[in-house]
Amino acid sequence: MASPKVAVVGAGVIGLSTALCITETCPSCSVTVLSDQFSPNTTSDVAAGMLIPHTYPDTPVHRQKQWFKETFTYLFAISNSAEASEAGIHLVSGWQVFKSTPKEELPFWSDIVLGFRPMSEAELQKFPQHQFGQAFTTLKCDCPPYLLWLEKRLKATGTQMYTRKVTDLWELHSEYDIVVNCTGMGAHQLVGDKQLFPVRGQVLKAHAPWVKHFIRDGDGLTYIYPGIHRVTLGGTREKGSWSLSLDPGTTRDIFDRCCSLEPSLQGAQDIEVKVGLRPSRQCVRVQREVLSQGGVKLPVVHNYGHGAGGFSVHRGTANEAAHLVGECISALQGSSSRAKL
Amino acid sequence: MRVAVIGAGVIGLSSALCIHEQFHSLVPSLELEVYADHFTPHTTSDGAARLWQPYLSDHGNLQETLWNKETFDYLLGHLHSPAAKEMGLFLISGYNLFTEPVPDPSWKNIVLGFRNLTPKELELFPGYSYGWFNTALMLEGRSYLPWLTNRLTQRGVKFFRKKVESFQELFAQGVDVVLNCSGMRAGDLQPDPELQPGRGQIIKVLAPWVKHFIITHDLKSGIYNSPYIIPGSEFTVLGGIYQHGNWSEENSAKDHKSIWNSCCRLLPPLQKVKIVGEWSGLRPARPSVRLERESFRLGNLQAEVIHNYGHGGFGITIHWGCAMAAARLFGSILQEKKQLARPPGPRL
Repeated sequence: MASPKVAVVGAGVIGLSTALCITETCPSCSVTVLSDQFSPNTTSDVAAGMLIPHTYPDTPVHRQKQWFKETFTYLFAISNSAEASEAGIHLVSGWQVFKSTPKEELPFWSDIVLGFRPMSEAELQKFPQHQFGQAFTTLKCDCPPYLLWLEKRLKATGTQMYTRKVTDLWELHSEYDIVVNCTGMGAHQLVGDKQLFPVRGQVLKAHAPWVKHFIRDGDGLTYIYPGIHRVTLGGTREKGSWSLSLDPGTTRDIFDRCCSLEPSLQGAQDIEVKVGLRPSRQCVRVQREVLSQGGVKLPVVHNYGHGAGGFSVHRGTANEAAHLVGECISALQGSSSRAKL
Repeated sequence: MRVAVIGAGVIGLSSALCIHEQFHSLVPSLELEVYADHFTPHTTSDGAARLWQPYLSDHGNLQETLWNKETFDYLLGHLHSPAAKEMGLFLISGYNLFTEPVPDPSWKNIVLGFRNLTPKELELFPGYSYGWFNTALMLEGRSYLPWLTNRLTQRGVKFFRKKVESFQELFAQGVDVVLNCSGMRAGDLQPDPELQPGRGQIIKVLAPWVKHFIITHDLKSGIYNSPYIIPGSEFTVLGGIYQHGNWSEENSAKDHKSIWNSCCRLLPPLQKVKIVGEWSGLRPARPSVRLERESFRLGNLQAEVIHNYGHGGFGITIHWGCAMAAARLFGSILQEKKQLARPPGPRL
């Protein structure tokens, strides 16, 4: 197979980074990205892009740690290069605070982020309602800049990108040899995955440039993540809600919760409200499958279901998906040479 | 009781506020005036990066370390108040970098979360093999000086745009106590060979993705002669110049190049940023801060000067501790003049 034609469906952080990994591991592949939405209208654009992993109950911890480590290492290198500001990647320090001491004081990722340590008594004084905390430095991927940078890197490799709504993977079998499914929440409809469910998140994006640290409540519901131009204030975790409309009561509630963590936010300006549906699953689906219909086979690689942790593990899962694409190509080449015999 | 403050930088304004806060209800006749030829945004204080951080070593000057601590604690106490944003006050974390191990600084327990850098963090800064991480405070001059001015104006303190030529000039007008917060130009009022300019130059850039301060140290070339990057709320300051004895307030192309090249080496993403300004200023450097009383005999009257100048590159860091010390000196003057016990009456 001279130049396998690979279609990547989805142009959020997962689709674009997977497409990029495929061009890196398989330079002879011709990669095309198809999506009904591109930045700034993807779910990724709503997210803050903080590298603080979400724990997937059914994915082995060592695999999650490997994904996070690969992602962190990759972004760390970019953050220190001349491309950092264009890619929207920057270091940010801050605190994760708990109202009561957590069972697990050392999360699996504590040795991957920088300078992880428990907060001192003096530091905890800033958070009178919280008993325990962790201080560390991690990375943030600002969107749209990061997605636009990925798009730019892809275009430089000759990858084509088209706005197109794919309603059935079989639509693609005549034009493409392999399909990579990075459709996030869209996989619910596209491949009928009932294990995939939305977790609705509403966030505020505010202008508060004096806020230089992230603050996250250990319960994951309230957080303050300073980006390049705006601070993301969150949030909600509404399991099973498909609503993309903005809720003013929720806005008020998020703002109040964030102000109780960081009172100076009372002076924040230009507040924009956004909603995204985290494509959630008990485990991220990074998996190879061969679809079969009337004697025709279609190799598919799935890479979706990252829920609240997409940015934290994106590069690691993209690498794994690219390897699976490599396996698909080998299988196709194997079967085509068998056909020649 | 007429008190004249000479100088409207951070030292003059904060000393005035401290004295007014402490004494206006105890001394009904207290009249406070501020005299300066430069006001915000044209003072030395306005140009500074405004990070709370003392020099590496206190040279055994424990008094100054204590004033630094008092300032930090005072500011930290205001962090959650509604005034914080208006004051230009916020927390900021960052890195101090060295090419060799150094002893911990006198202020390690004053700041928050002080620790050594891990090997992985040092990978970010090739050429530096040792360093500290800590959380400190920023107090932006563009906001703090106007805030101080507003507080003083609300309290009825009067401001005069005037270059005072001598202490005697003020005494002749009936001023009882002069607070000399004239910074770099204290020598014009009274010669002080120990006061020398520590010239600095900075470049202001737009780099809103920089969330940490990064300060490098070259123990051989001395404080602030090594690149530093300090992000504010609107722009980021690049610096690394300290020229002892240089009185020039003109921006130097050579210094610009030195700052730019060294900061871009330190943080490669800076290469692509937009420059929005440049500034030079003179740090009023002195082996130690001059904070003391001086009495002047004028006929049969005694007039007092409280000197509060020579804060070098750490004015913001030490200002409130010094303001309180100046207020204590003022208190002792009042005691001597028995002003605190005496009801308001005609001047002798």
